[in-house]
Amino acid sequence: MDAAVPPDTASARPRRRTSIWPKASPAFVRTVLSGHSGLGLVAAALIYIVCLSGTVAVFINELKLWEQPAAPRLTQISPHAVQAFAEAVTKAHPKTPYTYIGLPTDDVPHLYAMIQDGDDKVLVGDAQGAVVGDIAAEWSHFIEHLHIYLHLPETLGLIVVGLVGAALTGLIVSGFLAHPKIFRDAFAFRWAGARRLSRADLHNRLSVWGAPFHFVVAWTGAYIGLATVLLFAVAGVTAKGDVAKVTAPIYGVVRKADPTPAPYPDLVATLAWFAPLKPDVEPELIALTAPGTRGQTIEVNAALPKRLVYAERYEFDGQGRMIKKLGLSDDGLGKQVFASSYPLHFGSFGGLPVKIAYGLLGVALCVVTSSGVTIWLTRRRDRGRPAPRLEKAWTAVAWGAPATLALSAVLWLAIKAPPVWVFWAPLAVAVAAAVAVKDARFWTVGLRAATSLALAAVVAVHVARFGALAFSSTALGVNLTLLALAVVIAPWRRARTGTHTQPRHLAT
Amino acid sequence: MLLLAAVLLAPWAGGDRGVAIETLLAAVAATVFIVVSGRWASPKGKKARPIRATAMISGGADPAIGPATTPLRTVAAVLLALPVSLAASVGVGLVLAIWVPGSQADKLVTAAFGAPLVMAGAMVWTCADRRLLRTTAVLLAVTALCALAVVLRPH
Repeated sequence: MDAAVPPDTASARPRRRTSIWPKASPAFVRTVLSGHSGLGLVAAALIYIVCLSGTVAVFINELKLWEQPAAPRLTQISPHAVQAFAEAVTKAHPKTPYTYIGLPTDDVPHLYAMIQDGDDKVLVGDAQGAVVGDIAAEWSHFIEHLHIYLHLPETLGLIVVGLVGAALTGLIVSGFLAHPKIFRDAFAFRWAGARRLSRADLHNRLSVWGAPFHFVVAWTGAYIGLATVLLFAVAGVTAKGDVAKVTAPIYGVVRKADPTPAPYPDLVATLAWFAPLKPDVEPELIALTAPGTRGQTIEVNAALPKRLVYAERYEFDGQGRMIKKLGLSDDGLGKQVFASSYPLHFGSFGGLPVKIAYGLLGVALCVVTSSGVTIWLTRRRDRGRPAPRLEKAWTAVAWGAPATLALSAVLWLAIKAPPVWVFWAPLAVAVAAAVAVKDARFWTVGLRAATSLALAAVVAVHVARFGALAFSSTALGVNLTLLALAVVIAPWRRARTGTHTQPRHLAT
Repeated sequence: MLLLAAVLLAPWAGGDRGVAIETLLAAVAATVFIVVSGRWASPKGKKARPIRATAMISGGADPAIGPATTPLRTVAAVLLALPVSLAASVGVGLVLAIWVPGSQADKLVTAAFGAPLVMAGAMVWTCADRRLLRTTAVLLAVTALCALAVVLRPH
């Protein structure tokens, strides 16, 4: 919001010299700062929740493994087992419009099938290709839906989250325009001292150094969300509303249905086609549409471990002969940019180290969002126009959201309480209660303590429910991380009352 | 830094992936450095030396007065920042999808990435500019021009 860095500080320096830093007129800076503050305040809560859930969602595959530690793990699978598994799934669920067969990878060490039979289902198979059950990673699914749709109806939610991404993109760009000297102090961070300056330091330093990451996730998020609106518009204007025709160059052509029976796809031959290309091309996902009919399509997404694109897509015929390559990795810049945007947004292009970096910078983005609002509120108070209800409401959002997120995990694991309700209802109650009673420091300390306790409770319930499996590799990593977060978030030090560093009314 | 990354990491991680990883590492390393090297407590017994060029200034730039000065103007600003800006950005996206040279995929991706930037800029501007008539006129003019460009598209 406000960097506490005036545009004309060069005059306060002891010696004048030619500056290498960009100059901007004070009027321009104040106007852009106005837009930065206004937009930030309007969108802050949604940006914060989307960033918080996105930070958690970076580790969605690890969370799914943590939530279902008993699901059979595989490091590799034979083509014949894949064939048997696919046929078993199709036989058991003949009406599913699609079947995605996932092959075991480092990230997702399962043989699984995603189908739609009434509801969306994920079935898992064993090393022989037998269906052994389904995976109901409900809480992980809740996190995904929170980040992508904010739990709104899907199309509307995607657009709203896209607008949030656009607002965040605007805030990042306007933040730099409003603070033309932000790079001058890029290495100076001072927490001790006046509250607004320390928060401005925090806000500006994290903004500067996280900028490449923040901009990329915001822009790609806006793109993913708003592409829906644009596609409908482009299809309406150029293809009589046929969205599939418009997206064919990047998603591939949708073949016309032909229910005439045909032999089931030969997946053994399909997978054998990739053998000479390994390890540079690794098949990961087989998409089957109407298998066992003449209109069947067999598409394979293959990861290219040294590329940023999420996959290259190959189409095969029923006998396992490759008939078409979509060209996501090498056919023009547009396709490559499209295929790179998802890994860039979700941090899925470099294994666990990249995910950890995304997690840290995601936390930084949450801090930037929170501190931006805090700076604006502190400035108001310094100017003699405090907004105590807004201060308390923001405290409740900033610390209530992680608290209710952790609570939703506890109650889902313990009694299968619907996480959507357990997240939103207590958060709304916390905001309303904060506005009505006590002060911001009470809510900061209380909600930090609640978050810490809830995180510890998540681990306790997980251990109680899964026993030794809670100490298996991925589950152990998640549980230790949750415990570490519980320790870090706990309000160990009481905020000092009446000092300029931690005023009682604004302790976020 | 990006060029260096592309050269150094290309054999190991591939060009595009290497640049992304290197940029990410630089961001994380710098952030960690800032946090570690930051002044977390006031120095005891002596006056703190300013650690940044702007430290002696206690005020900071005040934001200009924005458009939302009354409830009615606030509603107008929100309408401008959301549906009107969205219409303008979709309009620009349509024009890009139709008129940008290149393959169908290039057109579509340019539009899909260009429209959010227009939306972002329009959101900031409508939240900053006091003159609601000016923002309204410009956004409506952009939308109208885009509609005209769509009508005049090559068939």
